[in-house]
This record gives sequence, structure tokens and C-alpha cells, in this order.
Amino acid sequence: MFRIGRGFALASPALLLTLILGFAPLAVVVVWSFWAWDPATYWIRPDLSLAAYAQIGEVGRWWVIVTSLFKAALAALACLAVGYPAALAVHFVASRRMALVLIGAFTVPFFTSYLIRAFSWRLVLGRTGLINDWLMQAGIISEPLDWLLFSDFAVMIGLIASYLPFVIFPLLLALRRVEPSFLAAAQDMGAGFLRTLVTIIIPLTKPGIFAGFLFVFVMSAGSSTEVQMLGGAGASMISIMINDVMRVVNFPLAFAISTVVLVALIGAVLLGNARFGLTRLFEDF
Amino acid sequence: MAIGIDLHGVSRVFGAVTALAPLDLAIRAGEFFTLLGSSGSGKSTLIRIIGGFDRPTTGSVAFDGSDVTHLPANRRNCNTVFQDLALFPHMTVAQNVAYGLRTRGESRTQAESKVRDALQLVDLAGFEGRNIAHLSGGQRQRVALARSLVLEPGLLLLDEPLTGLDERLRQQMRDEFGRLHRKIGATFILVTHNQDEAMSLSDRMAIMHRGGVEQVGTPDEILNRPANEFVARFIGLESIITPESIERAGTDLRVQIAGQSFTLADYARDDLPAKVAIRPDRITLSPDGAGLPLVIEEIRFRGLHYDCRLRGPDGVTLGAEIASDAIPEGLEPGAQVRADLHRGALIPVLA
Repeated sequence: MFRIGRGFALASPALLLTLILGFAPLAVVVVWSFWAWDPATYWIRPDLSLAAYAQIGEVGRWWVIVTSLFKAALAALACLAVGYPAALAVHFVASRRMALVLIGAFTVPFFTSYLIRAFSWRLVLGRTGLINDWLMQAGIISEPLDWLLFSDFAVMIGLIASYLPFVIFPLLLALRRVEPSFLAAAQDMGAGFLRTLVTIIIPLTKPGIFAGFLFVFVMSAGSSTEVQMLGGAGASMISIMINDVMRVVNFPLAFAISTVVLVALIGAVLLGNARFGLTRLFEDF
Repeated sequence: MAIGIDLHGVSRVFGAVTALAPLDLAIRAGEFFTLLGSSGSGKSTLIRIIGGFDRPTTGSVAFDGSDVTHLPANRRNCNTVFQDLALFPHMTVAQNVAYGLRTRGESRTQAESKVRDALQLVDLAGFEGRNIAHLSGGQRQRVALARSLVLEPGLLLLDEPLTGLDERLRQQMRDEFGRLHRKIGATFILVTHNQDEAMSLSDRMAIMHRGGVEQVGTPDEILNRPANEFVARFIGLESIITPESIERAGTDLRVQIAGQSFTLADYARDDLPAKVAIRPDRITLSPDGAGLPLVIEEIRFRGLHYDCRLRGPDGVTLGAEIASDAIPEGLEPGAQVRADLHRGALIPVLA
């Protein structure tokens, strides 16, 4: 048994790092978002101004934030739709050995840089890419499909491919709460697979579902590479917009956008925890 | 209502391992039947096949004469209380018990009143809204029972449900099973490795060993006429000896052990047994007097009785249970004693 004090001592390096490396810059971002832009010095000066927040409303910036969050949520849902059956298969169907192979297969794409991963989708989805080639050879289409690449569709594919493993691991963790005997008991009382899924497996894995959703949602909301490599002309995401604003050294605006997104994400976490009990994911089994 | 079960040539092979050798077994409708065996004896495999959670490699399973071999568990009129109970942790007591009813499509109000009755039946009235995690071991046990019984199955399977309970609770729940069986009248099949449970509950029982059935019979038949040495040892008759001679004397047998003659009453079979077992609870020890001359090897205090190990001149060993208040003075390892065998102490071991 650890005494509380000793437990904190063990965690203190990690806590300190998190505070210094994580929270300190965030605090600065939030504070500076209220500072004013000074054209004379090309720098910012202390102030308590909401000018930057007002600028978010200009030239459709808020629309980029909303669509970005919407796309991120869509990507997260798509990852869950693909990842949930995969996690079920790894947990219930696969042998130990097979489970290891499958989990490995989900991880291997991470061995290459995300830039290369995004770029490789160009080779698959492009006008002369693999898919158009196959479809034309098979005689299904006569003209290459244009909407495959440089489109929201391509961005979505890129996001799903990049972040799929981040739903699978929390789901696998959550599935450990589902004892095989629960499934046998449900079947014993007359439930078929679908009813067992809806009444037993999904309710018990809710924390994992939410954790997976959150991982993909947050990372997709902050993604820029996939959008730059695969998105159409004028496609924007929050991070690209921030980049553009930074390029014209409008720091308060960049920080204001970040603060709005930060608040939105924290809100999502708190809401999700209240609704789905994220903390239960880490309870003893 | 109660279901009779017929197993014909049922076997189960996992890869190179034969978990169940082909066996025939008939379980009568309304019977309390026990599958008794140690782990690896095939008893759990057999109950999984009866419940529909596994298919036999060969053979057929029939409920009331109709073949159910390929019917999955969710379509058999039979329910199981699992070893780990498998209560759903995200549901209240009432939701757990109502699960099967709701799956069947019964209305909420109808289910509610049945749940109330089922909880009443297992002495848990008023527990509807409780959280499963906050129940004691015995209460969880009762919820699991109620969850199965509320569906009014013709056959209830109990897969070692008493494992993991402390001794007091175990006896209490054991008696509860007996009470519920008499009250409901369904066929009960209990899987256990505990012979006390089997002996005190069963109408009939099957002793299983290495994927086969060694003997099927009433507890009385199995205790007094064990089919072979394995069965005798399994039900606690450890002292098995080969007498110098066994011969008939009317309806009795005359058994010669260490030069002395003992009577085994009411032996009706045509063939004579090769060996006899000696019940440890039908022996008295005295410093001198009648009986077999033996040496005490070991004495262990067990509370209400002493366990004694005794050795004879020709290497015969005997176990004896002597009541704590009936142990003679000066009895200690190395002492010479006489062991007198009472009526019923000798049990024929048929093979």
C-alpha cells in the first residue's frame, strides 16, 4: 500500500512535465488572445481586448471552425463504425496469436511518416491512381472519377486511415469488461447476436466508444497534413486557418481561434464524461 | 413442463483431446440429476452440450424425444446458472431478472410482476432497484437463480454455481436448490465436484471420469454399491482391500480379512465382488477386545471426530473416523489397537 504522499512523489515528474510543457503554453495562448495587435511594432501589447474574437466572425472564419469540428466528428464516427467490428473480432473471435497479428497490422501504418501516408493516398485516389485504373479497366467507368482526390471525401479517407488505431485500442480496453459468460448468459435467455450487441456489449463499452471518439475527434480537428495533401482547392481546417493567420503575424486572432477550439473540446470532454462515464474505462475489472 | 433428456452416443473432441467419449445418458423429467466429477472429467463439456453452448462431435441430444442437437442455446427451453453467475453489471437486479422476459417480447408491466414474484421466490423481495455490485455473494447467487427461474424453464442447468462461496453460504444455497426444485418441479441438472452437494441433492447422479460415465445411480446405490474402485474412492471410501476369501452365506456374504470373518448383509447380485471397501465411520477402536489387530500410524484432530490411519500386519491400511468423545485413552501413533467393524462397514466394490 502506497501512502498518498508517496504516490504523488512517484507521479510528480510526469505532473511537472505536463504542467510546464502542456498547460503553461496553453495558458499563455489564452492570455495573449485578449492582447491587442499593434501595427506600429508588428507585435502584440498587453490589453483586455475582444477584437481578436470579433475577427473570428469575419470572412467566414467561424464557418471553418464549425465545419472542421463537424468533419472531425464525422471522421471519428466513421472510425468507430470501422473500428468497432474490428475490435470485436480481435477480442472475441481471434486466437491469442491472431489477435496479436491483427493489433500489429493496425499499428504498422504508423511506422511511416504521416506526410508519406497522406501522400500515398494520392497514388490510390488520383485521376491515374489505382482505383480509377481498376474501375476503368473493369469497364465500370469510362472517365476517371474526379471527386476521389482533392475533395472532402479524400480528406475523410485520409483522416480515417490515420486515426483508426486510436479507436481500436480504447475499445479493446473497454471490451475487457465484457466477460464471455455475459454473452453466454444473454444467449441463454434467448437473445440473438444483435440484441446481445445492443443490450450488453455496447452499453458496457460506452466509455471505450467515447474515448475512441474523443481521440479521433481531437486529432482530426487539429489535423492539417491530410487536408493540405488530399483536400480540394480552398479546403480549410482550423489548423490551416491558424497557419494563414500566423503568416500575417496576427497572433491575437490565432490565439483566439485556438481558445475557442480549446473551450469547445473541453466542453465535449466534460459533456461526454457526464453522459458516458469515461472514467469507468480505467476502473478495475 | 419438466423436460426429459436423452443423450445418444454423445462425444466431444477438441483437436487431439477427447473431452467426452461417446456416452448414452437418460435424465428423467422432473429429476434432480447431478454430474459429479473432478476437473477435466468432461462434466462441464457435457452440460455445455445439453445447454446448447457447444455441439457434440458425434451423437444426438433430445429434449422430450425431439432432437435439439443443432438448436442453439437461445432457442432451447432451458436456462443455465453459470459458474461466475454472469450477472450484467450495468443493470439493476430487476433489469437482470427481466432480461429474458423482455427479450421474449413481454410487456414491461407483465415482466415487472413476474420479476417481483421471482425475487420473492428466492427471498429477495424489495431488491429490484439494487446495483449488482453492491450485493453479497449469496444475494448475487439468488439473483442469478431468479433470472433463470423467471423464464419458467423445463430444464435448469447449474454449472458449479456454488464454487467460491464460503462453507456456510454453500450449505445454505445448496438447501435452497433443493427447496426450489421441489417447488418448481422442473428438471435440474447440477454440475459439481463436491460429493456432499451431489449426495444431499440428487435423485440420481452420474460419476464422471476422463470423459466417460463411471456409474449412474441414486446416491444410495452409489454409496452402497460403487461400480468400481474409482467411484468408491471418489465418494470417500479410501480403504479398499482384497479379502482372503469371499463366499455366499444365504443372502449375505462372508468376508475373510486378516484371518477373521465378517458379514456383508443383503448382497443380491449374481457375481461376487473382488474387493471390499471399509466405511471409516463404522469402526470402533479399543485397546483390546474383538476385531482386527492393527497399529496406529497417524491421528488427526478434525473437530467433531479424529481421522486415524491404521496399518495391519500384511500391509493393509485402513482409515477410521472416530467421534471425538469415543476415542480410547492412550491412543497414539505406534499403539496396538483392535478395530471392530460394525454392521454395514463393508461395502462390495464390484469391479
